[in-house]
Amino acid sequence: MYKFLLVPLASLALFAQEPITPISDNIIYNKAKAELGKKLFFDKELSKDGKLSCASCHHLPGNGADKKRFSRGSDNKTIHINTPTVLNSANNGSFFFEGKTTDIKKQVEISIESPLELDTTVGSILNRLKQSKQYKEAFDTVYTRQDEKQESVTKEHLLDAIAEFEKALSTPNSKFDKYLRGDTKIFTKEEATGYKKFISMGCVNCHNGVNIGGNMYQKMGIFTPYTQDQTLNGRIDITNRKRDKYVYKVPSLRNIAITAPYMHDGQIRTLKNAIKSMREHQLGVTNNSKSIRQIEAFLRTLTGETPAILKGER
Amino acid sequence: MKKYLVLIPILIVVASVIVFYTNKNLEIKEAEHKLTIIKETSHELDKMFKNHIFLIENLDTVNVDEVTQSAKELESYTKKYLETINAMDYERLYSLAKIIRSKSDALKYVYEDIKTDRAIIKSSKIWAINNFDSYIKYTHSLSYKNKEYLKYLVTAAINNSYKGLVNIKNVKYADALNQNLVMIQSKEQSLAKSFDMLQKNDISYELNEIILFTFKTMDNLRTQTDTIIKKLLIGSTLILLFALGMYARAINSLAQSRKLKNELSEFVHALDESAIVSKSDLEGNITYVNDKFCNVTGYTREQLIGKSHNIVRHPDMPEGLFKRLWNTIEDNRIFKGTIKNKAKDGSVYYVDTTIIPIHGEDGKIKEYLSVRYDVTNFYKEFDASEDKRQGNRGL
Repeated sequence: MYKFLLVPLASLALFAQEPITPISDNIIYNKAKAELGKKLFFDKELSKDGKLSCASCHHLPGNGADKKRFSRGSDNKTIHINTPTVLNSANNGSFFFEGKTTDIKKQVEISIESPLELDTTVGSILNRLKQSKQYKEAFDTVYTRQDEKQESVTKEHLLDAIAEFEKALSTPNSKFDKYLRGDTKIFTKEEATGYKKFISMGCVNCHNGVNIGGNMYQKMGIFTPYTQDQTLNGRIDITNRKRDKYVYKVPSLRNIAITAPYMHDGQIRTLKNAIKSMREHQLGVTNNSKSIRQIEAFLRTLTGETPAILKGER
Repeated sequence: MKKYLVLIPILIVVASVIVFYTNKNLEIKEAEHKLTIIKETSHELDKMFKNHIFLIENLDTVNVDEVTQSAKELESYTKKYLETINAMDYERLYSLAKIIRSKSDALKYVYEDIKTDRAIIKSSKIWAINNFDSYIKYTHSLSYKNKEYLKYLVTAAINNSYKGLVNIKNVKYADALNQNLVMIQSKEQSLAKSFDMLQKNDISYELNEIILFTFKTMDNLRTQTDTIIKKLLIGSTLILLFALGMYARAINSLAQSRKLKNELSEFVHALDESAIVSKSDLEGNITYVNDKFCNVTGYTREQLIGKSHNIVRHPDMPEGLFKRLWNTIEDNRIFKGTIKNKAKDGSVYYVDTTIIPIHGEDGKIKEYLSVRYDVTNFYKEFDASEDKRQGNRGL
């Protein structure tokens, strides 16, 4: 009786391609540059008053983000947006919740110069680095120059080194990645059902690709309005287009179990409540505690290995 | 040595042609190199752009990571491309680059919007599919006809062929169903606008214009140089021909004057052998004498030069004769006559004299040339027979 309906309906649920791809377990990056970038990432000389480093808000090794709802930036100012994780961020289509840039090096520059974040300038950092014999030697070895006299401590090299470290921060071999590579038995029944529901409920329409998100923008509160701090306007700040009010980058769900609190404004503390909120606001689905449990079980399989470059760190 | 001088203009002409040609060639090579880069990067950008459009138009069937990667690469490549073009010094390229920049900026948001809208449409359709069973389950009160109608509407909405709301009362989820149908319809409209924008902001036309421009500019560059080289070759050939002509003339006149000189010296030699030759200035002072003059008169050349011709004058010669002589030559005529002269030792000699005025380049008399033949013997015989005759008569 419903056969005529099922044909077009079934075809919708099918993806021509697997909507999610596993993280490569052999990521390519320049080790020397990444090690230099790592040093810079943890260096408090990169801030205005020598009190902050990138790692002050992006905890490493750890979740690459802040456990607090809001991080404190320069001069102890509150940053009214939840710190996104740096883990796997190189695979995102753009950077910052508002999508300020698609260039990873530009992201580093923006974070350095933002008055809320490190609140300094690339120029003053370069001046400080040039004073350090250690850094000068490190830059000299890592970056080949045309001749000895050419300066190796440059803006381009500074941003490049940190960007290269970010590229190294990928967390491969999560339980889900193993499942995707064919080890289907690794999933419990609940996790497998959770993944199926993740697709069939429509979560995957936004959270897809290698980072299970990070590649598009959506309005917070499509079906029912999402109440948030009114100081945040979203992508409209960048694009000046009406339709971008309360629009944010869809975040990656990789390592989601360890990156609480959730949402761009960090107002949800638990993963369960985050799923509930998303289903309600973004999909218009009535909540069903069984489905939520299953999806949560699936999301907990997305935690990957500590990046190789951080192994041995405490 | 002198004849090699003619090589100098030839060398200068050849050298300047070579220098000009090499310079121009370098200039063209450089410009061609730049234009080739622009041509190739334009092709590459066009390829990347078309590929990205293809990916965006086929979002449901392509790998999403490929789309993300392609968007990032297209954005950074476009940025670098526009920097390269603006660094070139061509007004036309600059204005085309400006259009490409504004179109690319507009498109960046269009790509985003298409992704966003597609995801919502998909979610809404999935919602409708997932909940369709529920409509049926919770709507026992519906007649079979209405149930069939409902199915029809939902299917149509999902297939984008129905635009409107499902207006059936007492259906559980009706509001939610309608909300999803409205969502599908509005996002489909928004998608249509986005695809319209995709077409309007196609940068392929501008890229094609840029590629055409590079071809045209290269062509112009080549023709321009060809013309200059042609002109230069014609010019230098003319200069060379002229130089050669001058050279030939110089060589010719040199040969001619040498021949004349030879002939002249033959004449002079003949004259010197046969005649007593002297030259004098306008006052009659001796300026030149030949050996024969010295022999006949008995003076040395040093004694004669600068002296007046009077030095050989014989007192027998009447004053009137010399008056007539000067009148004749000063009147620019040739004087001929036999003159009795006196040598250094007082002996007498007769000469058959021809005095010719010689002209300077201004046409005025410059000097006088005297050519004399010794006729003393003839006159001595004559004098002797005259004496005899007079003696006889006196007898």
